[in-house]
Amino acid sequence: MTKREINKRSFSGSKTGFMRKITSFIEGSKDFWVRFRRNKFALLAIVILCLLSLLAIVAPIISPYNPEQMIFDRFMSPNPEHPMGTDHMGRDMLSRMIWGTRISLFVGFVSAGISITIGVLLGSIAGYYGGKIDDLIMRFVDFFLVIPTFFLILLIIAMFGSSIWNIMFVIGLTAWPSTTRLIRGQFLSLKEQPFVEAERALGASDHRMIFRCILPNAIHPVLVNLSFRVGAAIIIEAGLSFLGLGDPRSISWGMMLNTAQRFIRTAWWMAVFPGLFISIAVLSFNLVGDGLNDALNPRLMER
Amino acid sequence: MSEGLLRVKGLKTYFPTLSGIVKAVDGVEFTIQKEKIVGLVGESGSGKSVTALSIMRLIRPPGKIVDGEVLFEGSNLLEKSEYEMRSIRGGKIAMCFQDPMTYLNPVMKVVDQIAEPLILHQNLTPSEAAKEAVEMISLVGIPHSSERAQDYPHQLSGGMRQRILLAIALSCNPKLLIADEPTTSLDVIVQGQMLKLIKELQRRLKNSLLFITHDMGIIAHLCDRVAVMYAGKILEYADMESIFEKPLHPYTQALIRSIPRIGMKRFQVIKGMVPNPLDLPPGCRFHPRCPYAKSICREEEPELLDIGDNHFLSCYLKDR
Repeated sequence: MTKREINKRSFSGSKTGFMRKITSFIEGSKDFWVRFRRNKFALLAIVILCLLSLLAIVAPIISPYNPEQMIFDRFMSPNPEHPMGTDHMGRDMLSRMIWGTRISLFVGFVSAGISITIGVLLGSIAGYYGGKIDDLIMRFVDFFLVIPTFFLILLIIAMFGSSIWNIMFVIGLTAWPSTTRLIRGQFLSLKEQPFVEAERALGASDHRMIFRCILPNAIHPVLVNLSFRVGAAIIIEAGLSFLGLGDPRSISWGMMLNTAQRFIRTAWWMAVFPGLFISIAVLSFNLVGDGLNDALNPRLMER
Repeated sequence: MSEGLLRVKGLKTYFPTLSGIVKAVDGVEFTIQKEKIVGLVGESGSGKSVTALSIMRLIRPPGKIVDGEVLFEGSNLLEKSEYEMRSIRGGKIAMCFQDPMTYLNPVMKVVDQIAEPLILHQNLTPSEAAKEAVEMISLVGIPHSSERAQDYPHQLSGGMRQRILLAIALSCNPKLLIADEPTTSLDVIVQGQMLKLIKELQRRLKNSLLFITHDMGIIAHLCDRVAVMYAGKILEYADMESIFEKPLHPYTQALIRSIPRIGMKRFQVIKGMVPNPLDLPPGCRFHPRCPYAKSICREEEPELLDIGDNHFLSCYLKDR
């Protein structure tokens, strides 16, 4: 505690606006980190996710071979030259795993982003305005919730083709209803708060009320939800690919699992490594979600 | 009544509930002159806050303003569109609320909250508004304003938060500031500082002030004129001196007697309870608790009449 105070003093010596912004950000997020660090699993998970993201970003640099090049012997089991072996077309599995990380994470983040955006927009409108608008949106949500989502996705992919962009959009467009509910609930309770009334007394427009006054107060569940959604999207993409509805031209973990099906008795490494990566990535996103949930819990925020 | 900055005429705000209509404000009349401080005093539930919210048109459904006029600079606020109201709220009429913790947005830095009305009403850029906001923070008497500006509400003390609320309300230099019990949640020392500050700023910025409180002591400190409210009506409206020196309404007299004084043997309390808003007594609303009630008080409701010297009274006993 004393150390912190000393830190604060030495920080407040710098007077430039930019420096102050940075120091106040550090000050503000310090508590969050203290709480987040308590959850060791979440910490491990975030390290794993950082490594995976790094892998995805620098894939072209660190990938030892071209993932599409069919220049090696087929079905080589893991060896020093090819740590994860080669597949049925003589491609290096390690390189494919690295590139697959790129696609899978990309799919996860883009589709989670789409569903969170839709969910937040509809949820805040429904919760803020209430009444007929709320009824309309929530019946629409109910409608989507009773449809078995996975089969809806299968249907749409079968109709419109299975490019990786289609897959991302379809996952995003089917996952929003639960986020909508979550955000609506947040808005219903937040809009009764006195500070919202105070904001209205300042003459703020509805748009400003929703996005500047209320939404920042509801951002914690959104972050937690985002983390879970990314994991779920990766699973759905893998499932689709596994069932043969993935994008055949892209290298994703799910697609690799799909091809591995046929050779599971002879080439275990073709199935094990993609499966392992999917499990680890999804587990990590869920653990980070849990950790965020604990660290951002407003009941623990009070000081 | 002469035309002032704000004139409220026959204002009625009702709330329908399952067990009947609650007439929270039922025919309120008063005028606020330029650069004057008007105190609105009354017990809890007498309709003070609802009056304030009605002036700002911030009554939430199912509550509704059913009748009356709110003339601000000559134009009726009740006839304005929601869009026009938005430019008045926070700009020309600002409101300062009572509970400093819950009325500040917990996830916004105070500088941004003070800058908000400046951006909305004076078309300042965010950086200009932030600069102005820091000045407002020092204006309301918070030291190290540029450092405090970067704090979040939970990092400040109750008194500071209340000062921030005041800074937000005053940032656009409103013509009328409505302060709804701004000192109620503070301890007496900080309360005293706040009152001094409010009065000083009112003199400096030359705005009018509608000060809502249930504390006659604060009224005596601060106000030029006093309106005494009871069960949705104004019972007496007069200059501060005449309210304290020669109160005419039995309720006002009872209120003043109930102010604790040094050397007092026991508290003077007003007997009885505030009437149930669903079941208001016929005639004068105060008659069940009034020691002087006559038969006419039980049957007919007295009007708020000018009895000379800018003293308004709603009572049949004025000839007593």
